[in-house]
Amino acid sequence: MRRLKDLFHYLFTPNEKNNYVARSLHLDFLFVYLGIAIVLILITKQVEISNILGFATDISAKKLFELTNEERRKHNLAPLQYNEKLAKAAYDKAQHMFSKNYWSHYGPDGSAPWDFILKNNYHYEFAGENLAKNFLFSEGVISAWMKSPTHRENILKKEYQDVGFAVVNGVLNGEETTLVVQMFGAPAEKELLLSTRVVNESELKIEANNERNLSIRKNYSIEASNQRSISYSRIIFNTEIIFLAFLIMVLILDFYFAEKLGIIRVKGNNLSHFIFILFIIASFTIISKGKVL
Amino acid sequence: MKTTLMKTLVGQVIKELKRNSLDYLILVLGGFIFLIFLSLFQGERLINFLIIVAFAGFYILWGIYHHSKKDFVKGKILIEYILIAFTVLFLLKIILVK
Repeated sequence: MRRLKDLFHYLFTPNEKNNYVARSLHLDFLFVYLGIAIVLILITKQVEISNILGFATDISAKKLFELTNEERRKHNLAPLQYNEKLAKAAYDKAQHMFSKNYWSHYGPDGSAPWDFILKNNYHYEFAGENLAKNFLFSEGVISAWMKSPTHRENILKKEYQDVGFAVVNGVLNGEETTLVVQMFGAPAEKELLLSTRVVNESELKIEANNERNLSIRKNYSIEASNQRSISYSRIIFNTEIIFLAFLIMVLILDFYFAEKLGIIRVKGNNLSHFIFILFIIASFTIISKGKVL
Repeated sequence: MKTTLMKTLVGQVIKELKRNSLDYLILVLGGFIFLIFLSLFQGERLINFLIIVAFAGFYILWGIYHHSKKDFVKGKILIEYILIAFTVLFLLKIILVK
């Protein structure tokens, strides 16, 4: 117990044994932290190479579908049914945005969201589209849509019966981007007569589409590969927050004991490091969110 | 005991802030400008990363400015600021830029 206590003081508080600077804040430890960050980058690159989806985000069609219906339930609306045709339409729309390099509901060639829906043989009475890009988590996407009046209106429109999602990675305007397309629909009379397959949540998948001239990575059976990338990206994000919180804790402890003992030392300013890292942690709340359209 | 610790810590922080109030004002202002720019360019990953690089650069320069007022800037102190800034940069690169 005493050894643990000594180790704690050696690592986290200034005393004679560590030259009056917490060992965790010595330059060699700071070099180790930098080294760990570089190793994490290399590991991430390796995961991306083996991960079919490429850019790792924690966004999945399944989760978006669950969260959408959760919002509808809160407002006493009937849940939407997952529709494969709308999902394919959403996927085609995402691919089109990457191939024509635009971020808009309407393409530069005049193509409208309804064109993609009709091309996939979904005859609608009502239809709608929500777009999002560069989010890290499914919750962030839904939350951003719900905060925007027009997107919220789409999610809570009582006329809609079906929904489809696409989560596609690619390069947009020279930048790796994750696009999320949500397509809503209410079938026209004719469509109602046809058997529309209700897809169980466990069967959600987006078919691979080997289109020409696209610098996107292929979306195959999304669930298996998505599980790996989901866990990894969430783990990385949380690990970074925990590491920064650890640094803050060490800085506070070192600062507190140095001031209490009146230690004068040649060292960087703990309070300034603390403020800097605090702003970086605050920035996580902004950078985890993307844009909606 | 926890309350006493907190009170002591807060007291120490206030004492340090009063000692170098202008320096910390500049640092905090820089931090808020950083967050504002991040919000303005929300969703633009590359631009966000460049804003973070700029903030890290600002932080290193702030460190040089802050320590040069007290004494000459020792290499060890400069390396400390650079290491912390770069560690944070690399960590955020994982999330932002592929």
